[in-house]
Amino acid sequence: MGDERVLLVDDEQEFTSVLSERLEARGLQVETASNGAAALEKVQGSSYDVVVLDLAMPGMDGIETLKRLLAQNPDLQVIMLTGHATVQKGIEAVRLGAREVLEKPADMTTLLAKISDAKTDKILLVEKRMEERIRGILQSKGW
Amino acid sequence: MPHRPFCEQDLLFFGATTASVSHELKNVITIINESAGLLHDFASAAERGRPLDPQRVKKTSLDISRNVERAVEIINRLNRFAHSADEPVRAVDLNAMVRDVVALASRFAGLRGRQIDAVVPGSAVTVSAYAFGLHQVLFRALGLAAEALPAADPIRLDLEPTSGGAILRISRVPIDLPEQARARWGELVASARELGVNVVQSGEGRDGAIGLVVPSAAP
Repeated sequence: MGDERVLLVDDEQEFTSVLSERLEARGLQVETASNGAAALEKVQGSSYDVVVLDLAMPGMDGIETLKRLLAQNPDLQVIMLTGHATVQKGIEAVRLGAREVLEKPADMTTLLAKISDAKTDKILLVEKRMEERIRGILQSKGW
Repeated sequence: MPHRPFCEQDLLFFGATTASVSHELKNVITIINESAGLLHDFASAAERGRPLDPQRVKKTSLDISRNVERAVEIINRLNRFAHSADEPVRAVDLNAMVRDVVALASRFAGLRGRQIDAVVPGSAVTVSAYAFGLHQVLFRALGLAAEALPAADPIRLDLEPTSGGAILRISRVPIDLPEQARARWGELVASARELGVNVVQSGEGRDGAIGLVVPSAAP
């Protein structure tokens, strides 16, 4: 655990401020965004291991933000956080590619474990894609 | 005023309201939870020999107190709303009702990127009415305004006492309502009529307004 790059997206800035302080104290690198548009902009310019995304936000909601984030970066690992997700919304988020949906307030130990797992999976995913590319190149050269 | 029969619209409104308020409350509890966790982190760091910063501890505990006050206000608002259905007719302070309905509607409006600006007089504006019905009518009118106003425009609501009761006026609502707002107009007028409230349009073109004319006593 440690050195994961995390983007927290929530319109409750007091929440992202306190949570980022707690995560940083545990060695994570954390940035925050207060809406979907800001999150998309941040993800475009940086490489995050995990995005922790609120489901209900003003303007572009969590579901729309999730769609656009994954369209922009399909390897991105997204954990949804929600106050009161309906089962339908939760299923939709997972169907669209979210890793999981956690209910607020999330237990710190659980959240850290989920972030760590997400980073591990992202590394495996990136390695797998790299292997596929190398295999493709080798095949094109007759190997 | 005769006791109103239970209707589906009432139940939907009650459900939407309590769901929204509980969501708001959960957000505040989440902040309190993280702030309490931060205090625990400070204590754990101090146990490992890191000096405790009294200012940080003070600020975090003040943040907790402030959010507890916020949660109490949300619960009080929910409690007032729950009791609004107690009696068919009672004295209603429109000033307090506007604050409560705007707080509730602002959350819905905020999710659509909108803001509601309410202007109320400094003192109470009391009428005799069915409180739950009035909540619902004002909420419907704000919803209609949200459909009718251009995307970025804030919704402006004024409460004005009159000799015969009060007017709740929503400004800058175009006289020619867009289609989606027209669909809500009939529902608004019908539910207002049940309470003896007249819904009127005034002004011209894009600078129109919707007025809810509330009598001092329900018919």
